[in-house]
Amino acid sequence: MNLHEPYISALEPVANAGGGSARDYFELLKPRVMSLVIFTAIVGLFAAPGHIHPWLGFITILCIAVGAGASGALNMWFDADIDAVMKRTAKRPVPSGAIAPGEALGFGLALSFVSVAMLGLNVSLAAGALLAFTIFFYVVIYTMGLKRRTPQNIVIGGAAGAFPPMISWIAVTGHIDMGAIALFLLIFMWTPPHFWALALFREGDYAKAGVPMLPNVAGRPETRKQILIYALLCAPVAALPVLCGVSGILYSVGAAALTAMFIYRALVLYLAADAVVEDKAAKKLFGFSIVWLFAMFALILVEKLAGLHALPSVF
Amino acid sequence: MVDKVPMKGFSPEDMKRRRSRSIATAIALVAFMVIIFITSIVQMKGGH
Repeated sequence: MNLHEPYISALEPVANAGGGSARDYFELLKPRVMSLVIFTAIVGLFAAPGHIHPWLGFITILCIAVGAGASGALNMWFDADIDAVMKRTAKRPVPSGAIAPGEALGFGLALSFVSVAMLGLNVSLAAGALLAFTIFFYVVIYTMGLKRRTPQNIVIGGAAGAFPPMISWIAVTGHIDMGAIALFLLIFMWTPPHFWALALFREGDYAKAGVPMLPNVAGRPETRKQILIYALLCAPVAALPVLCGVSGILYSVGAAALTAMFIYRALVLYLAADAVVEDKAAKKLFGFSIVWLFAMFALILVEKLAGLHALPSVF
Repeated sequence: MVDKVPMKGFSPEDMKRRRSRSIATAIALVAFMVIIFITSIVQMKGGH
């Protein structure tokens, strides 16, 4: 497969693009996605049993952040053709012509190498290896493989966004255990309802770009049903940090309330009687899903920082 | 036979861009060195 083929026609008008500003390069790192990655990785660092020197903890988070940015740059390089036709992404640095595709590719590859090498050499080879796998998974498995082929793209691809707390956990403990898997599953199970809610009110964009998101392949009712199923699956997953001995009472109470609200929002969307109600419900669910993930991880972090005891593990 | 490609110099804008990139690369390399240096000290003191 010729990787350059897809975006030749879409990017012809900006063939001589390049020389973007520092701000354009910063945008190439997908800073909003990066903020979520940094936050969940910090929580993984504090939640893991054991101790890491603060400097090495800082390097771990820095490398994970740079690795996430590298993935974003490589994603924007490959997806420039479909980004150009979607309203939400048309102003990104590559389709807008601020940064040439080759520059984005070079920048992404350089950052990937530096982040993996730094984490592997400075902190832990295992953590560096998992960061390398995460970048590979996001760029090759998700972006190049799944995204344009299957409506299950974000279900499987969601794993890439779920690895960061596991990487920082490994940096502390040196191995993967149930606690790390619990944090992974929180993000993994949250991803489908989050992105499908977005796809419901951005369906036209994805259809125009030929991306097989669930609403434009299986239909809106099926998407609403799948969102509800995954929101319900978030309930047992939300209990996992408690069962694994990572979290305590404060998290239990907060997580129960947040997840009940998450399921309620998904149920309202599922029962939406007409297009207007559905659009409103999808937007509300999308907004709340971001709050849910941040709050769940914030509860874990607060418990650790406050020195509150976790409940005993059942595993 | 390969056609002769006319040589084109860098414009002042190109030069400005190349200079700022060189500075950014230099800063990144210095930061990389500093990080490895501090980490070496931390690990020599048994910090992990």
